[in-house]
Amino acid sequence: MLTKEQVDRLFDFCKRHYVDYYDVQVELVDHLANAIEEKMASNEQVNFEEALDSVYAGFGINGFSGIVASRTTIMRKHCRKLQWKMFLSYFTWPKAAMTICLFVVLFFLGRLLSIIQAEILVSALGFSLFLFELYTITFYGRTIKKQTGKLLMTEVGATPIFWIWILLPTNMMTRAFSPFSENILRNDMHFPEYVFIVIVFVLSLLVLLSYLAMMKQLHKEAREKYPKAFV
Amino acid sequence: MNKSTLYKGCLEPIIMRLLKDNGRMYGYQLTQMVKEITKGELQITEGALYPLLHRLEEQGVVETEMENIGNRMRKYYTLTKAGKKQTAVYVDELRTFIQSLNLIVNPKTAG
Repeated sequence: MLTKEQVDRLFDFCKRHYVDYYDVQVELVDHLANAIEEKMASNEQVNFEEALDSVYAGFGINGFSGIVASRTTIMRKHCRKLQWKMFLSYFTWPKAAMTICLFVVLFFLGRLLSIIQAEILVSALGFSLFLFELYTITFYGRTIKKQTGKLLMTEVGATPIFWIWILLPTNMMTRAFSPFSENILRNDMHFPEYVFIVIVFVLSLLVLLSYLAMMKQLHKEAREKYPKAFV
Repeated sequence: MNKSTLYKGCLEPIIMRLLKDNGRMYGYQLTQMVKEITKGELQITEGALYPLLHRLEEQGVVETEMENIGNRMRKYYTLTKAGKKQTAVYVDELRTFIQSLNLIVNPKTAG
């Protein structure tokens, strides 16, 4: 059995060979350690460093890079699937009730409010979306901060969707100050525009909610599987 | 011809079959068992094994658990229920494939 210092040396070896994430390192370290132990047991003349070099040579000219690349691709796919599943859950019972309520309330508010009030409402929705995004980014930052080791499953998979972060809330917030703002909801022709904004707002909110749910799920899985990355 | 190109497509059923027969296994153990069973004829490279195991995990064919073994962690792979069903199908497909290959390689004996 390798000593703690030798195992630490293997983690360091992985880092020096561009394996930055603990969840990838841990499996490679065990593989290297097993192979080294076997080599050293079969030939007592071989020392730890020689055995390590010989085992690493077995990974071929690309070393660990192929394994890291495939793990990254698979993790991204896993995160996309997980977020999509969370997103779809807002269209199935019981969460669908919340989605329908939100849409119906905003739809009828648009019918009841004056043009100026509707403009203010759209801006307020944009601002609330912006605040919620700030919360999501802070949540992501806090989640990562809790880890003592970098984890591919929580960092790489959590790629934010740029247009929702920046463009949409900015566009919605500036509507009230736009020179064309007085045109909105002036007649029936413009009501579909309001409905369109509401649909985009609701969908964006659901994307953010599903992103948060995905992060929570990934974080929970990471805590269960790699407790040492949270010590 | 490079041997690894010959059995590249068969790697998935081989790994699944080993997991079915042995319950939970870890990466290095899988490579050694294949080597041992085939008396060194087949050697699975790390570069082929781990991407495959990770893909199977993502597809829900295998599930993983971590175990502390002294001063390091070990990742064990186990077939899921769906994985066990899929293994039977894959092994049957592999068997049919081997029979078809036999028809080409040994046309006289096969006939």
